[in-house]
Amino acid sequence: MTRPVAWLLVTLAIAFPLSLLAGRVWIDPFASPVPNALIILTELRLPRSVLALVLGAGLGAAGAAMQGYLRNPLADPGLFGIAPGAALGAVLSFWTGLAGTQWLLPLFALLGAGSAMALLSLIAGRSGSALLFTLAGMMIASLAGAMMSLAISLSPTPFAMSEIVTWLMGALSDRSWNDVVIAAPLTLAGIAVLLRAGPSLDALTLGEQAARSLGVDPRALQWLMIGGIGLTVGASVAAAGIIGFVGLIVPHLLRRFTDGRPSQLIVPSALAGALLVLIADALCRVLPLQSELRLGIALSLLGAPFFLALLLRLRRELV
Amino acid sequence: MLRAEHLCLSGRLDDVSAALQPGQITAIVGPNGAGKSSLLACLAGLLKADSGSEMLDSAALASLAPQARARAIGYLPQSPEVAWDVSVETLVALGRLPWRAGAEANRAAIDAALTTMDLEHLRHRPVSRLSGGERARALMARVLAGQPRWILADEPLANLDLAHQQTLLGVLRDQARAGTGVVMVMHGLAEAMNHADRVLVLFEGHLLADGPPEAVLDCATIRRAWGIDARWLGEAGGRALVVGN
Repeated sequence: MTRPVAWLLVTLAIAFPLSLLAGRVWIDPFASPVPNALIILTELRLPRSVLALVLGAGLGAAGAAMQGYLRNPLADPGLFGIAPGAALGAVLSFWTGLAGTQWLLPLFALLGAGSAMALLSLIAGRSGSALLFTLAGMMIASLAGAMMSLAISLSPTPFAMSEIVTWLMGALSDRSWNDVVIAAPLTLAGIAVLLRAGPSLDALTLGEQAARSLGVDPRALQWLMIGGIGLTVGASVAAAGIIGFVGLIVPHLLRRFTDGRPSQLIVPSALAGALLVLIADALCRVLPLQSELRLGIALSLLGAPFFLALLLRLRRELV
Repeated sequence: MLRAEHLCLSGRLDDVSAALQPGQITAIVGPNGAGKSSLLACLAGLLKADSGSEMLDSAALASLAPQARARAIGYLPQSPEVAWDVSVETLVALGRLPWRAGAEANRAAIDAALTTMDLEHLRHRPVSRLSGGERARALMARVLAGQPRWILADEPLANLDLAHQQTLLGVLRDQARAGTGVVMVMHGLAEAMNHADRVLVLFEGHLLADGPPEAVLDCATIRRAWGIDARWLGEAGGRALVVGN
């Protein structure tokens, strides 16, 4: 076990139980018992924290793999258009009024992610070119974004519009074990697929042509990336809406603690992604605001200055 | 044996055939745009010709599994990139990716490649802190670590000073003596003349000449391919090319 993985596991082991205590109602294990503490813990906080771990892990791993695949530290899993595809699916479930029926919202989101993945592989074709693949992803993201705006502008009721807009902000509030049951297996499968892509991502360090000379099949790698990113990001959007920046920030922060190979960054990024989302969600719960801060907004607020610092550093290196 | 049979590639190669021998250094030379890198990429199985075939021994390269092809042929691209700031040792270890060997075998191959390219003292240094020459040596060590039967290198001498050029040519000669087939795209005709066993001259996608350097790199061929008048000075093995009359 590498040192960053060990540190992250220890930190997670401390942060996870602490996150269960934090919220509008603080549960102090050493003070007098809070009414309904067991229900709050097992039915509200525990599924929410487990979901934070699962989604954060998926987004972190997806970001590490994406940056390795595109050989770019500014790459984000959202670039493939899978997250906007999943979000469009979810928006359609609100639009049609089916979101209220159990399982249908995440199912629509997963169908949206699946459609984006299918469209991506159709457009990128058999070339295996990462450039073509990324451009196809950006086109899908743009199309899905436009269709979401269209759906919002044509919302059948103001209530549906408000539901859509709120959901798109991304949050883990009011999530239950049902959401964990959907997201956990898909995310774990996605991380396993991305780990399988690890050696090929390492070879890509030397560029596409050298990677092929080392036995990498670009089309097989493309399938692994579509599958891995699709499962992790699709599950995340299905369970919590759009949560940005995790996939960008986490691999970037951890790269210096690894030997630089993309394969070595996937597991630490999964653990750190889990930690970041867990802490950010706990902060959202405890901030003394009138209504709870949405997780997607909190992470974007944290992420934007980080992104700016990254760009400024890159600019200094270029001068 | 590595063979190109009637390779045609739109605008780049026109009916090129050559049978390359293991244990030899073969230089591919020609003016810019002659199709040298395209021929090398075809021979490495990385570029699909419009027609014709590439054969490794008795098998078509296209029929080999990517991993099997990668174990047989080590390829060093022109101006190779290194996307992440890995250490020299990690970079060289990437050459072992086609092998599913145990840690011991991998370690031995990586150490041998580092020793051969005189990189042991730079083992832990990040690639970003290497000089151009050190980086070129590390990238060649990556190819050597794969222990391929064929080494195909696109202008491997390009970023090296004279001393390191001689060292690398010496390493490649040792590899050839050990039975490895070495194929290099080169711009320096003197290096090709003095160090290659065989030279292929490409001109506008055609194979203009193919044979031992003394026979192939004559003044008439140089004039036809490069459009310059030049003459050779010195003795075999230490010839220098003088351009102009």
